[in-house]
Amino acid sequence: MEHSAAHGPSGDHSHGGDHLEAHGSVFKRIWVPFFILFGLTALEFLIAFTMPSGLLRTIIFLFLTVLKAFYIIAYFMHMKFERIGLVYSVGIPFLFVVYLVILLLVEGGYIYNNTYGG
Amino acid sequence: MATTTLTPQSHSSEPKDLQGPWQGGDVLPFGSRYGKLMMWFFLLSDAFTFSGLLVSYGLLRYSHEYWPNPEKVFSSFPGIADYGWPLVFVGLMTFILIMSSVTMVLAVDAGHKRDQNKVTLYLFLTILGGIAFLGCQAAEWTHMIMEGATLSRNPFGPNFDPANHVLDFNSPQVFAQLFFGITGFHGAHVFSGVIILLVIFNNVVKGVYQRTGDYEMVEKVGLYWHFVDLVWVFVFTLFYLI
Repeated sequence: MEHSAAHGPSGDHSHGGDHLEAHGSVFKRIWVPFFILFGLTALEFLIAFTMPSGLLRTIIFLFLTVLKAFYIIAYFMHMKFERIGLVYSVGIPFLFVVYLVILLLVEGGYIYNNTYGG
Repeated sequence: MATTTLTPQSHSSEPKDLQGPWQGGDVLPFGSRYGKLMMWFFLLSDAFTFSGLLVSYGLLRYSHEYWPNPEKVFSSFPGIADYGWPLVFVGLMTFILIMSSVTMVLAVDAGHKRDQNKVTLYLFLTILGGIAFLGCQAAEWTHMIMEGATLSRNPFGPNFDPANHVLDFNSPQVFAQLFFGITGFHGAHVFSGVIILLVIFNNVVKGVYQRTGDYEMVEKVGLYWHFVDLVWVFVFTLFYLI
């Protein structure tokens, strides 16, 4: 069976052939995302120790978390280099999670006010 | 399937009843093969499970006036300090998991280059990272259980003071349940990830993928492993930071 090394393990799909060359060096694809993740985590620790807790801190933490999730999915899980159809079919369903978060934030606020008043 | 390689062409040699309109094996949706796509969709469903757990955690926390302060609850470093080291141990756990993700990417990359020795080395390091993470989690759980946390009791009320061994059960009882439940579910994923990695490691050492020239199995288990890391990023923020 013809299965040349240039085609890589993924067979003959669109970007199989130029797999290794097209997406940059190991340093750019692996170590740069690693240092970004490491830096963001260090920043989170810095904020945890220096900033008083409050809504702003919580929002900063959530933003940094989503940013870290982006780098893990895009680079480590290679999603950045997949076809756009795969990105959409895995990504769009998360709108339901966003909906659930909004729904339960509203309900949580109601429960809080109902329990503690105000 | 009797064929050893999973290239699209191999389907043409299969029996007639596997060809035709329902066969579909020659089609590569989104340019990806069946196994990798199914891993993605499994991870999607698993992500919904974790989302459900974490969002309900968020609801419970948001609707309570008092919630245990993570800097007080998670201030031990098992084996070194019982209290006073906030977030240091969980920082170590996060670092271990991110490092094991990096070695996993390096293993996948070595697989693309069909470098059996490097795949073996990096997979081995990834497995070590996974086991180290599980060990840390076991130590942390033990410490919390020793402090009096159970699935139905939460000792981390407003007057909780680890330095003077003061427990305060006047606090949201669901906290410990959520902690053990969600970190336990994540830990179960790490554990099964280590098992799957061991199976793949065995195949790599035996040269199974070297013979077929196809290291996609390493890529698929890599997706799962990164997903476990991804979930930890959220668990870390929601339980330990906020």
